[in-house]
Amino acid sequence: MIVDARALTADTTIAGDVCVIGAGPAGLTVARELENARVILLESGGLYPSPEVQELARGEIAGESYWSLDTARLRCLGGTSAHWTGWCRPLDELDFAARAWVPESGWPISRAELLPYYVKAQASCDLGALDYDAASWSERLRAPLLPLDPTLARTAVFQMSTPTRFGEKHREALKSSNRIDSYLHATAVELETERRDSRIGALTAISASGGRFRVKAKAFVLAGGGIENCRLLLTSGSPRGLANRHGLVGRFFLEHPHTAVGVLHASSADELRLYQPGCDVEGGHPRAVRGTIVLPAELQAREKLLGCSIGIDPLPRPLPYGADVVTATRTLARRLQGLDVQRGYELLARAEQQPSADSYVRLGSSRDALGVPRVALVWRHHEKTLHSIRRTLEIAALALGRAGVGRVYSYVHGEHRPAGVWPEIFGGYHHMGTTRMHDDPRRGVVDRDCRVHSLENLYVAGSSVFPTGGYTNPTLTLVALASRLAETILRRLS
Amino acid sequence: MTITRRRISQGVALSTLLAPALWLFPAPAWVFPRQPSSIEQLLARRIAALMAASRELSSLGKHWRRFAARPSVTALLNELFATADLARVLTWSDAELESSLREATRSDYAQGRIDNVGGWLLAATEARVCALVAALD
Repeated sequence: MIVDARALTADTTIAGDVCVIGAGPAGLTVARELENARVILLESGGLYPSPEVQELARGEIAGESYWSLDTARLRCLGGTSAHWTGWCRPLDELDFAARAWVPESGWPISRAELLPYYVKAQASCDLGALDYDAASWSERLRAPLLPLDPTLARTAVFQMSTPTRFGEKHREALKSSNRIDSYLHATAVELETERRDSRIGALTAISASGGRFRVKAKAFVLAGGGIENCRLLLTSGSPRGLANRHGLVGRFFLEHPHTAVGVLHASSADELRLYQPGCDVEGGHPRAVRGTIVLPAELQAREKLLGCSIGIDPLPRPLPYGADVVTATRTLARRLQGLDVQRGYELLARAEQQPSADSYVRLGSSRDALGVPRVALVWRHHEKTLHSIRRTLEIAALALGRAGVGRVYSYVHGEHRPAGVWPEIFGGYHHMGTTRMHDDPRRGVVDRDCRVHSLENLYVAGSSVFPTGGYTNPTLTLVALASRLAETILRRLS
Repeated sequence: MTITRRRISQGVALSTLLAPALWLFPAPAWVFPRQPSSIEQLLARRIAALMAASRELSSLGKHWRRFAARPSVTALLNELFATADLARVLTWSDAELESSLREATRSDYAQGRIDNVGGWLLAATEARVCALVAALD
């Protein structure tokens, strides 16, 4: 059933097997897959986003320029999936590895362990089979692959979800469920420990009408997103927060730095069909696919680069340089390579961020309407990330030239830049890393099972557990991890 | 022939009539040599003519990262035809010249020789060709 927490009597205590805090893609996945368990699902928002509730999500931007926090996140049933764009791809094998050139890299679990859950996540996100092979999609859609030298670059395919609005998709099932009790307009504000701080005994929540109530459960799951998960830990327990003995809660905030890096002048529109919007899939699962250019793992290792994808987008703005230089480049390409490069496309880099403790979320100086300290985001991008973007673009330009695809004008190397491109860096609304996963409690907040170190019944679902973010959007991976977490909790409850 | 005032007037009139034609259809340098053109200058001009769009190429070439150091035509040609005798290159047909530059471009991409020309990431040969045209200016 779905309950409006504003109707609850003050000081009510609700009990269940598992309390899930947050009804976004991670929280809904955990709740739904905890079969036979009685679930209390708490959501700060209502069925749809509203300005009054979004006001609770406001925070301070204290580091690099970033979106306002009440724009980047949505508090409602379905969470931030309500404005998700649908890009899906599993993390690559290399993303799970401890890379000597990327400090703090390495997951305690392998990609192979996550594969069965990626299969389930595909269905959750209304996608097709777990097939991200570029050649396979090229053949199926009769859209050519760029003939890139595989030692330099390859095509990484994303499947595009509808996009799935998790709230809309599961609303009716939640209404009729007699196993999951969903409380809307219910904001968790504090976790209470028991047994010498070894477990969570209950949590305190406040409804939008100001009434307080408590939830007791055998297990608790934080699924409020990369910023709210660490916020709740920081505002609970001792002055340093819960599970924060080593100062890691909120640290290692990761995003995917996005920036337009240049223009590709290409000879053939048909050659780029797989890389453009609108490469639709008959049947709609997935809705479409998009190819991007990435470097092979061996080259990333040799050049000591972080991951980065280069997307080829329709030009969203006029060219910032004159017709003279375009004519010159076209002349050179035609005379010296037999190419007629006449169509312009914008190159958009989406990069992996270097994990670093100096990029973090902390509690701010002001409080929200419920009396909870707001957060301050101190986002930092590091030279290694910027260098990886620069170098990936250079190698991509070489690969595109070698393949006879076209010529690249680089915003990174040139002086003609419109507003809103390199060196301006934007986030992708991807909040990762703030309760990172590591077997060693001195280096992570959760263990390989996403259980908070030192608290036997507190778990974290969502991208806040990612030790590294790769270049791929986090939704598919966080849904897969949530599915795995549900299985873990069920096993422990039984 | 007796030089009379009439003949002088006829000569001036003829020159006046012919001058526009000579401007439109200039005679080769060997007809009216002003000063000797070096092999390098002749070869550079042939390449510029081969590429066409000289004004645009020159405009681009001036943004080559090494152009500020004022590379000479000779230096650029030596980079373009590293192992060849420029006098012999000058005897190549247009097709042979273009083929050589195309092969050099192909080799650049194969070997990873990319250069920054005012933000354009071009093959080293492409960069030197447009710098060459700019150097002729």
